[in-house]
Amino acid sequence: MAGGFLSDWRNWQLAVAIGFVVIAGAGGAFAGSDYFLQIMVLAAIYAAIGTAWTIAGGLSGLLLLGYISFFGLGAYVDGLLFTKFGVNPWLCLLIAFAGAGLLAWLIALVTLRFGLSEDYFAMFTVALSQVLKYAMLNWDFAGRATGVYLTVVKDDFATLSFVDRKPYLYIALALLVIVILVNYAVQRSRFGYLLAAVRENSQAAEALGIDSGKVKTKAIVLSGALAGMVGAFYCQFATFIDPRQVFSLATNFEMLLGPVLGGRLSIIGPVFGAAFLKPLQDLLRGWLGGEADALYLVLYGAVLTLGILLLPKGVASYVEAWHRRRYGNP
Amino acid sequence: MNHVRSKPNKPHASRRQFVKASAAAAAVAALPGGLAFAQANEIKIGFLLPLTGSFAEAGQLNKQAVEMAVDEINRAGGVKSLKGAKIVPLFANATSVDEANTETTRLISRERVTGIIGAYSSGSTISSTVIAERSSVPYLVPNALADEITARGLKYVFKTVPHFSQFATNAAEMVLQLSENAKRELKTCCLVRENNFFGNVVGREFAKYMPGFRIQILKDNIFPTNPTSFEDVILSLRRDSPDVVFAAGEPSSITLLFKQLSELRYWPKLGWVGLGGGYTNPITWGNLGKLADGLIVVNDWFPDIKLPGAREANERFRKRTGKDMLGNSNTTYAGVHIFKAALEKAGSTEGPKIRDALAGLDLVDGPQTFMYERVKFDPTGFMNRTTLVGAQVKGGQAKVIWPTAVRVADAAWPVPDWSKRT
Amino acid sequence: MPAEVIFQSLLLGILQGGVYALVACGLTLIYGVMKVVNFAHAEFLTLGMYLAIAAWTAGGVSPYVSALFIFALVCALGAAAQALVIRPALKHPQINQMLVTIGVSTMMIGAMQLAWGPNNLVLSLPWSGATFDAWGVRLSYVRTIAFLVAVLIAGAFWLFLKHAKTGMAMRAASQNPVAARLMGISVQRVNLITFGVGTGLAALAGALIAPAFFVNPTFGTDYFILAAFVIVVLGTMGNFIGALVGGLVIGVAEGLGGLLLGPALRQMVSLALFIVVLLALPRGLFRGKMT
Repeated sequence: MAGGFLSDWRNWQLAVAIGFVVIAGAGGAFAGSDYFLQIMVLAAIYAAIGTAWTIAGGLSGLLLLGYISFFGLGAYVDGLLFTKFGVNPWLCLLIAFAGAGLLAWLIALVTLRFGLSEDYFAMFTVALSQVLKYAMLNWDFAGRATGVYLTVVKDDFATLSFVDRKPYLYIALALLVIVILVNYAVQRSRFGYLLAAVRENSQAAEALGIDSGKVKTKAIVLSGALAGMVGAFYCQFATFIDPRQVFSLATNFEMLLGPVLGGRLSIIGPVFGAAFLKPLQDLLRGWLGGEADALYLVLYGAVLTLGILLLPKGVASYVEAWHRRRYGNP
Repeated sequence: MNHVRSKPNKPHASRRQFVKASAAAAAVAALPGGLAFAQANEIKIGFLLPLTGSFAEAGQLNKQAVEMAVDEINRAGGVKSLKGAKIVPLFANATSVDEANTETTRLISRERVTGIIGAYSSGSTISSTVIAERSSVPYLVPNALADEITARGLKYVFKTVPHFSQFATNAAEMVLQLSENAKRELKTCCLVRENNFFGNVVGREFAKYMPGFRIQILKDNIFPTNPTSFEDVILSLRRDSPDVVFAAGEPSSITLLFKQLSELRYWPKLGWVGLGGGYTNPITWGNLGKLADGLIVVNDWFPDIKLPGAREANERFRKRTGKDMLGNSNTTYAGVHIFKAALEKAGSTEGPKIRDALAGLDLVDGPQTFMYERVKFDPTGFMNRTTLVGAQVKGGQAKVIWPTAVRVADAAWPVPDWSKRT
Repeated sequence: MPAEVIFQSLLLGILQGGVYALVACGLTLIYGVMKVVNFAHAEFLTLGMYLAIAAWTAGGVSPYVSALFIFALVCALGAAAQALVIRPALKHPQINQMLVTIGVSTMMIGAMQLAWGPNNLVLSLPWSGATFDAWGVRLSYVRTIAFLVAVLIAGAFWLFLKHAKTGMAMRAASQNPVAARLMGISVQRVNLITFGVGTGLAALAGALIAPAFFVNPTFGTDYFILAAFVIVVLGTMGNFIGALVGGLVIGVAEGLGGLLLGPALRQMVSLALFIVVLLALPRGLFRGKMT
């Protein structure tokens, strides 16, 4: 057993997270039901978003509340480039990565230049997401409220379009692995130490010569770019996007629940958080049936509220405590 | 249906235990969707509707229309060519595209439905029909309007509601004829439409067709969903002073708009024409009370229309729900009967056979004649209709006033403005 | 665009602004004192509307009478929510606090839907749509009353915060909770009162504007929450006069913006304004002062 490697908390998390992804992929391969594949793909998407978010929202301690801007932008980049210009969706993933990264950079530039406080930064990001929504709602090229749709009638790997749900699952999991690796790399790198320093005490970090602005900018850009890439994939998967859907504040908060309840300083937190919460949401809704949606809202809200109150640092903090006991302090 | 993944983050769980637990969970999740068995002699049909959320009112009314149709079919002996099999409706909530997709896959793979009817909103319908197509499950659309639904070469999709363009062309024909009868000139109009799917497309169609009718669009007012005030729209209308206003929106917006219209005392010279959806929803008229008197509304059907069985069908619905059969409940009710007719013709629950039956339907009698004189789908799956109809609201009731062939009352046109109303 | 149309738009915008300010003042109080972003604020507004409609349909009680009782009732409810849910969350990072209020918001929407169903309900007073003429414009009584009450509340709270003991305790707690505690102020009690009163004000606003609108479980979130946050920041958290001014600014901006740029851009105007103010005046119009 690779006791040495696993005795490091981050390594252990990486192993567990990747292991989980592999098992999920295997499970999906044998799953007969489209219904579960559908739920699993959405869960994987949420997990990837959550893990990407923690780079800026967890590790840097930034109150990046309006995160869906990047996701929605990525979705539209793919939707419009693919349907209007025939740009290959795989390429769109990269373009969305760059585009969302650019948006993130602009946000960082503006907010740092104007020295926005934490709360205001949070509200700025939320307001921006809604500005993007209204911009798309009023832009003819983007289809306004009618949105963008794709028609997929056969499997075509070259254009990331499938009739079967399984390829979507594999690609979603692959994207999730990429995000997990980026998160891991950040945590193990010098950049990760800088983020931690800035998170703990921005002023002390500055006194030590760390350019906190630059560090925060890098974090936001990386976080946003990854979300954009996942958003582009989402467009291919859902085959229909409109502004209210991909810039929805409700979805925005749902995506943050995974990392917050799972543990936003960890790697496994957002992954397992989303893996648990998103299917819970979909299955609960399926169970309770169409009209019991009101009951579902009450239950779901209660789960959230209690979860956040009882697990403020997220479940991962307990796992970390166990890990420390099991492997001793490295 | 116990397959929530076991949560592996328990403290003290060793890695091996966690691996075992996840494998078990994955194995359970991988069971083929055979937990839902159809009873012998039952035909399950999935209905995608917005049962909660902003469109819940319409969704719930549609649901009751389905239940009425299913009751009638089952009490009359079910589907005779399938040995009297009874129809079992399965309702699924579809308030967003993701939800619609997830529920569609559930209905198809877990519940093994024979067909799907839905999904009310165009976006959800566009995406969920693709899912049905690849599983060869027939999908009937009696309530989402987007042209794209039948314009993509899908073989299993059939649509009974009109194309958007008719809202522009028929509405123009109607107001021109009404004005001619009243010996008034109609040259200008303004649009007041909500920035949603229907509103957007309506705007596009009006821009395209109005010049042909020689009606000038003075201003196209697009308002956002959930506006707290319409003062800007109303002030703009007052300034432009059009002969007629063509409008589209959701019940909530219309309620606020009309309250403010009456407060600010603005009314167009000849009248206000509401198109489709929110304007023909009886709940809207109920909310507005007297404010809705004189409003002209355009849709594919109203209870007070000169068609066989129309009044009776509406009465049955009223007895059940206390409301008129409007707001797509009529098309949905008819849709269930049409699907049943296809089942009868196919004599089978296999998707491809039902699909072919639908494609080859040519009905001139049956329960749906209260609304459709003839049911026949074109090669794209679209059911051609002759024309939309216009009705005028008074006292919470709408009487059809156009076209002449099916009208039951004369229109009050021009519609008197606020100060002249009782 | 003729001057008189602009003038009318201005007046109507001011009234609309009053409605906004009324809705936002409770949020401003909570945020100002406790620094908690209460995402469930809209649901307390909706609750107030439902209660007003219930009082009207059950007993024919006018919302202008039931408003006070609703205020008191929801104050108690809000205080209970604070003690049970918000207070424990205050020890945790801000994002947790925000998400807790979102959880509460979800529960409340579900509960209201269970209680009253998903359909739109309307409170139609005989004089709901009544208007009077002023300066060539027709103004609705309901919105005018909402405006006047907003002004009243702003003024009353300004006085309260400046001179009343509890008010000064609130200011102290908002500026420096640690120092306030050292001075013998029970920050816990201040928070309890703040949250209770803040949510009570939201419900009061709901009761007062109910005749002009309609209600469904997501009304608050759909129609007012974004504007409310914009106004809170614009007006400088905690400053009631600021909330009033902020509300007026947004009301007029939306009205004029919609008139000149097209109604579809109404909400964009307020959001754009919000962003500009956030950047240019990061401490709001009143430079971060509560009075």
